[in-house]
Amino acid sequence: MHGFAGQLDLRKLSGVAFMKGWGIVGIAMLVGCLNLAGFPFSAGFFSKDQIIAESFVQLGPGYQWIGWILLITAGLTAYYTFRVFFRVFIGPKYFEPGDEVHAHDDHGHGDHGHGDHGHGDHGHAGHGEHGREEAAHFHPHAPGWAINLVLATLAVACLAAAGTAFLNTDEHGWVGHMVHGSSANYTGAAAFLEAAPAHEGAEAGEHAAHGMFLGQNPHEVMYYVSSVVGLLGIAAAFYLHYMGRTTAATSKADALVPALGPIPKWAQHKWYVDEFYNAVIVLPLRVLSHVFHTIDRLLVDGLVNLAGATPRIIGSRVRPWQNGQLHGYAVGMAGGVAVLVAAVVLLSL
Amino acid sequence: MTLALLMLVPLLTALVVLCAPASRARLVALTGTLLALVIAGFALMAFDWNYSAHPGQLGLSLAWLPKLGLNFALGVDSIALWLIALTALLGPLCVLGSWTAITENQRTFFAWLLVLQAAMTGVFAARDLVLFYICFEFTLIPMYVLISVFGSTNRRKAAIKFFLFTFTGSLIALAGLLYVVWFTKRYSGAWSFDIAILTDWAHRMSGPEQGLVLLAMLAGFAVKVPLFPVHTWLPLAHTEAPTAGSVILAGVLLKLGTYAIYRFVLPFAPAAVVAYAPAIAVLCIIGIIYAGLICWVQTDVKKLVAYSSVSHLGFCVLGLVALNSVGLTGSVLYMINHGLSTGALFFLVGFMYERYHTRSMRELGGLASKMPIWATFMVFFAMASVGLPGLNGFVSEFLCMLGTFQADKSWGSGMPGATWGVLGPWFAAFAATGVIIAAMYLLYMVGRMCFGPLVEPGGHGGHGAHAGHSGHAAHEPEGALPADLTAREVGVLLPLAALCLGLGLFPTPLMNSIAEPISQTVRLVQAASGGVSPVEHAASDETVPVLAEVSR
Repeated sequence: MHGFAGQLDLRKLSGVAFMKGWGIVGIAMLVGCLNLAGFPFSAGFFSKDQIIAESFVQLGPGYQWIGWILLITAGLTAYYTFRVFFRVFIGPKYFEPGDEVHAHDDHGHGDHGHGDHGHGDHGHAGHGEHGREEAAHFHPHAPGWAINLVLATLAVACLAAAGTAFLNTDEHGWVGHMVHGSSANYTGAAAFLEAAPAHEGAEAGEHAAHGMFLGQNPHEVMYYVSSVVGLLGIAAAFYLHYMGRTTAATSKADALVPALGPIPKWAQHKWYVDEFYNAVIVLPLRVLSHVFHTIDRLLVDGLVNLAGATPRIIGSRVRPWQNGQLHGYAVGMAGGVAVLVAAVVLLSL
Repeated sequence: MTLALLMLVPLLTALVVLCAPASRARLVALTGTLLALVIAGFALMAFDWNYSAHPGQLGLSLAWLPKLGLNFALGVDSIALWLIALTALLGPLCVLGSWTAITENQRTFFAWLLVLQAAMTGVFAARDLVLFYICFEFTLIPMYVLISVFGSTNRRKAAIKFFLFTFTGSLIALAGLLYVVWFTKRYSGAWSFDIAILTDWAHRMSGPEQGLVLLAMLAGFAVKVPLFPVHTWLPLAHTEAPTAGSVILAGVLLKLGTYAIYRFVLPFAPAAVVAYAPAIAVLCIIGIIYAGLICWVQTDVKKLVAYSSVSHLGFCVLGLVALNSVGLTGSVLYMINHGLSTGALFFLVGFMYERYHTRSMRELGGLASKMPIWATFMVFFAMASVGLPGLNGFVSEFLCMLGTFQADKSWGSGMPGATWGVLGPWFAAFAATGVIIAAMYLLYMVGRMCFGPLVEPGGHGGHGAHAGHSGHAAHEPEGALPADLTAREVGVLLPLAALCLGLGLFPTPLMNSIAEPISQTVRLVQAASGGVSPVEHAASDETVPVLAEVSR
């Protein structure tokens, strides 16, 4: 994405893997996608598979639900990762550079074409009015050896980690040990669980020592079920985003949008989680902070200033009495004497 | 003797600065402070770390008013020594940091800066109560001058408020301290102002007496820290002070308050501290959250850092009133760490101000593209201040909260690691929200100032071309500074950054070096307040083996 000037829109890139210098990126992407999708015998397959199986194994309310949710999510993951692969990396070659070239902030949401954007209103000379022309002027820079090395290392590590699954006995080092608990080696895990005293409860006698998946042993079945789910996801992505696609911007998936109602819009706004946090946490805190700041300036500091001002206020009230007029002082003195005499007389009564 | 030198060298340098030509003032000041730093280095080597709790090391004692038991007595334990080292370190950095910022009255500025350093050293080095108090109060005068003469627009008001507020508080504290002296005279028969002797007697005061003494002392020291309701002088003073003044204020002057609480409030009125600890802790926590949230809505970046000090010092005092060695260790580390990281933040803000003449975050932004070195340091010290693990702030903040968490009476016996105290998990939980808030406002500041689109005031280049050039132009060939930090400015920040990283990764040597005086204080407080007997506590506490009362 960096090579295309920060282009993040899936609809504006296509067939990248076939472009010059992008081969390694394409292969690494495929390996990564296979991993994330939990394609059979990839490293991601073993870890995901084990987690799902364990959640079916657990007894207790809710665990079955968690298992199903995980399974569905696994399918979705396979779908959306391969959607990226099918759209961006293979298919007809096409690209449109991102915003970092022309400082334009319209990402082109929705289904309107890119042709009507007012590109090139400032910035780089020579960029045409329309995306297609612009693309002709823009030369994406393919990743250098540094990025390729990193990608290759990661991809090789993924494959190597998967490879160890076939060595899943105790004697094969730490990776083998990690994979040991996978359902690929379900007998071991099941034996462990059956031995665990926590599971001997089996309150419902007709159940086996652990939970079931559609009446089967989850460890055994999940091996296949998760593979099928993953492949289904990939197939869906293939059908909707690759088959018969001739342009970057459209695919069969677009036909589904009206049928899904408001869901695509919600998803585009990340289910409004950010907005929710903003309204429930950030905004009230922000308001509270302003309130505190005002309190601090007016009330807390105001009291301090009041304490500081008190002597001055008293002074300004008392000052007029010191007016230098002797008879004024004499009257004051006489009054004082009168008060004292009165007090003495009253007290002695 | 070393300590006397540490006070004398800055004082004499101040005299030389006044006699020297104005153009040489900063050079003389730099020489003097560097000399003091070297002496501080020698002091660290000469100090006998095996007796780190002995309060009279490296000292001297001259009879002053023998009839009243007044002595010019200096001496340090390891805690005081570290704080003196911090003071000595900040000295030359402040001179270097003010190299170009101060263009007029340079002699006045540097002379007062040096006097201030001598006074602060005296506070930590004093073994005599009157000497302590004189130094404690004397810090006000140089600071008053620095703010009122060299500060920014609102400097007079800030200086007067700073002076009157802290001075009023200190007078009440003096009353409390003198009551302790009088009490000691009445029961021991002789006048003495020796802090060690007073510590021996003071905790025998009755509960109500202790309560009053505690409140009187806190009236002075809490203002200095500053704790929540009496903090309002600080944002103003910090914001208006010149850069070096803000650095000293955050780095050392605030620590005078926490140090005084550690040195006097805890041992003089232990039973009252136990009684009042929850109340003090509540004030700390209010301060942490309240000041932290206020930070978040500041537009003046210097005010933001200033309010962050209020928030951070809340952790420091919270650790103190946890009254266990974990909390106290965290608190003492906090004093040092906060001085390093917040001092550095003030330097950064100052360097930026020298270039742009504004501190408003509305007029500044995305400076990383213009000042990459500055931005790098900004991110680093903001992270240190947030408490990113691996940097110094984390260690002390974590220990303060851990100490608070463990300081639970009801929990104490059953739980592993729980120690005696009157706070507990709830206090720690509320204080911990302060860490999140700190991350919020500091990252907000960094994001605003360093990243995003470049915003500069008024569209001009923003180079600090000083308009008012003043008569003595010899040392100021051209007022303009380069866009990014100069080697001199990097030289100011680099030692602080190195210490932040060093103390973040390897805090153990420092922690061990202060463990013994802390465990003595903890035992004194807990024994005097009837919490746990000293023997029992020594067995349960995980500090290093405790020496017998070497301090006597």
